[in-house]
Amino acid sequence: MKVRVRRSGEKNGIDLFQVPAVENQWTVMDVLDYIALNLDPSLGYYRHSVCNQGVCGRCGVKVNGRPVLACTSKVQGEDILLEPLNNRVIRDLIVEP
Amino acid sequence: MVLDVSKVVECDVLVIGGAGAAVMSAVSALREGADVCLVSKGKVGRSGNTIMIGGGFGIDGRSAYEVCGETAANQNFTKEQLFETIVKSSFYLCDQELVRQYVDKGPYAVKECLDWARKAGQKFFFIPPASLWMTSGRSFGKAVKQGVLENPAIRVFEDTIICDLLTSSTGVCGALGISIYTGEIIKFKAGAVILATGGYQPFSLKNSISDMTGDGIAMAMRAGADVVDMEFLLFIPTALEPQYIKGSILPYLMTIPNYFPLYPTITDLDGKELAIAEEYRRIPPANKMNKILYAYFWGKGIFEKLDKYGNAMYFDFSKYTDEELLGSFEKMMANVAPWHAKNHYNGINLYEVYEFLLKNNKRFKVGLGNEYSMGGIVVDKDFASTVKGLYAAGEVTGGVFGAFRSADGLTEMLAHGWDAGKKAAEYAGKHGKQTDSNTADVLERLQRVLEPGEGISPYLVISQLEQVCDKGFNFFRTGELLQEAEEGINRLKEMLPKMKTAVAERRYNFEWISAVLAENLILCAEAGIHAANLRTESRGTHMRADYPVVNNREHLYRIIAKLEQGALIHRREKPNAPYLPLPEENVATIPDYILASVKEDSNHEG
Ligand SMILES: Cc1cc2nc3c(=O)[nH]c(=O)nc-3n(C[C@H](O)[C@H](O)[C@H](O)COP(=O)(O)OP(=O)(O)OC[C@H]3O[C@@H](n4cnc5c(N)ncnc54)[C@H](O)[C@@H]3O)c2cc1C
Ligand code: FES
Repeated sequence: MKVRVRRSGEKNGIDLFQVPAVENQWTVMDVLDYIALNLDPSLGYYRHSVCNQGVCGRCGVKVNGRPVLACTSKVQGEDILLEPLNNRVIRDLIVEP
Repeated sequence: MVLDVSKVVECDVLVIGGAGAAVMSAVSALREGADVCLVSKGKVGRSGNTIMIGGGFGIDGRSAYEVCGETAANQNFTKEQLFETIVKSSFYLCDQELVRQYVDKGPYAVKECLDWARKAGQKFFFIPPASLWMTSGRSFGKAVKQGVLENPAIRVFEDTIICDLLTSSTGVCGALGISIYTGEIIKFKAGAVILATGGYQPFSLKNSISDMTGDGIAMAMRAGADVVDMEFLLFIPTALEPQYIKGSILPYLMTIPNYFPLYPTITDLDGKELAIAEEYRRIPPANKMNKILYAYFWGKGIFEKLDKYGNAMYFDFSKYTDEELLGSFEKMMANVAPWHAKNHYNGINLYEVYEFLLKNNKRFKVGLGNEYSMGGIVVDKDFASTVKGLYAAGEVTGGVFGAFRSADGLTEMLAHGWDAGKKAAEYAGKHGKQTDSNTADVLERLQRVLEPGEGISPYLVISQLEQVCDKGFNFFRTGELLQEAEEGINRLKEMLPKMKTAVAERRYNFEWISAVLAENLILCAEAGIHAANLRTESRGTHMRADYPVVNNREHLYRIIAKLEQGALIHRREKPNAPYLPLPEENVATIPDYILASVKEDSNHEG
């Protein structure tokens, strides 16, 4: 699956990652974790107090323009675009809490 | 770049944590007149295992009636009975004074939390026969949040991770933290510090929140405190598939008939049934001791094929019709409906899981995931650690539940906070604030990871730690596997000084934060693995394939660990047992121990 991620700062722009995600099975959080562990540990995304079960409501991100919770939202299609929820960006996909 | 402290905050009592134990501690310290700060890695009421709960927590029936005003409570269920059950289910390893405190103070602390819940408009339903309240994680979080809203004098710092405690020649006198979103370093100077940071979870399959990196336990060890019972970790059935529900405790809830009437056949991944032997099936399904039986009988089957299939078994419903299965799912939906979105349990659409089962021969993969760590910081009945000025409350402590927690983590955190806050405030009032001697050391450790150069990503270190623990420190253990795990830990310890982040950015650099977490989790795992290796018997959740006997004659002692000059030293101590005498006879296996103790309980009731 092609995953495009909007980056901030020095990397400003869109980064492309190839991720072996299984459609309708992996969540957006699984994809982000895969990227951080295997491809680019500098990626900023919500990770510091993760319930992963849709309880805390803190992992919001935009997928193809639509706001979702990363941990409960399944990835679909061959190509996805991940962006921060709003323009109060702190770093990459992280916005002000 | 040189790291420096951006802000200094002073208070009498510093509470570290943002969930049940922390908020109760903070409120209780404030009531004593202390100036209180609370610092939480996550957000108050939206972090900690407190929001992950299945939802039940209780006290004895008489107190539910007398203290909490539940008129339907069963008054024949007394404190004495609750005390005995906890001691026996701890396999007699608990500190009986701490169990007394749980039983005696639990009702008052629970009452206060119920008041918060009511004011926050949350549903907490009392179930009289079980003498417990039911709610959801989200609701519990909102109740806890109400505790700080009602007490605005508590200064709250959220999304701030405490990286280490600050110490003087007398004891603990503060802590150093990173504000995660800004990367700023904050120094907290305090008369007393209460750790309320929860437990530790070093495995890859998690049903707990990601906060569970054992920060408080490890920081206490680095400050010189004793920790205990680190070999005891509680595992329960946890979803592996569908992938998008991985980590959910849905499978565990499916073993409780009140939630989910159909009982699955449990098999290994080759389809071989992993049955619980007939004589042990008489234990009522709601009895928490079943958690050990699942880990024992199902875990044994998983363990036999661990190399081939990993931590996985099937929950198989193929003997039921589609309608029967749907009926059970609908019963579950109805049960959780008061708290969750329509047809959901937390973020999971239960219809989707039903449909997944229909498409997959009505079975799904389940593993045993870590829910709770019995071990933690040694505290006395005032919740003081063995280091002056340092207190602890909640799951971060060790000693109330010994080898197995049969009572409630939620009641525990509230009861502890109730006394810890009070006693820490008293201490701070008497001793005032000291000046620390280790700020520069902590800053240096934090800075090293950010400096340019080749190194190992902290993400990788944590992932390798999980592999080490998955293999050698899981629900079933052997001397050989534990030895391998100890060697794995030694390799990881060598990697720690080589950790580096990909970028030097400080704002929300979770790779940087992970360097702190990696150190903490590895230290906790090291203490646990070594204690498990020393404990050549089986007891509670510590199951040795090579030593199945509950060996009361030789092993009825607590294993205490302490850091001395950077090395962990372990020692043994007899459990503190001023009320119920310790047993002297061995029991052949863990299930036999459980059967005997459940029988004794029902004799009492009869
Ligand atoms: C899936 C699951 C289901 C459960 N179900 C039940 C149940 O039904 N009934 C029951 O009684 N118990 C249950 N438990 C156990 C119970 O949830 C816990 O024992 C209890 O909530 C622990 O409370 P605590 O306040 O001690 O810690 P936690 O709730 O874990 O809170 C720890 C807090 O410390 C913060 N923190 C951690 N490290 C740092 C740091 N370095 N700096 C600053 N802050 C930090 C965290 O962000 C968090 O706010 C369950 C546990 C799990 C995982
Ligand atoms: S991490 Fe909690 S809702 Fe996604």
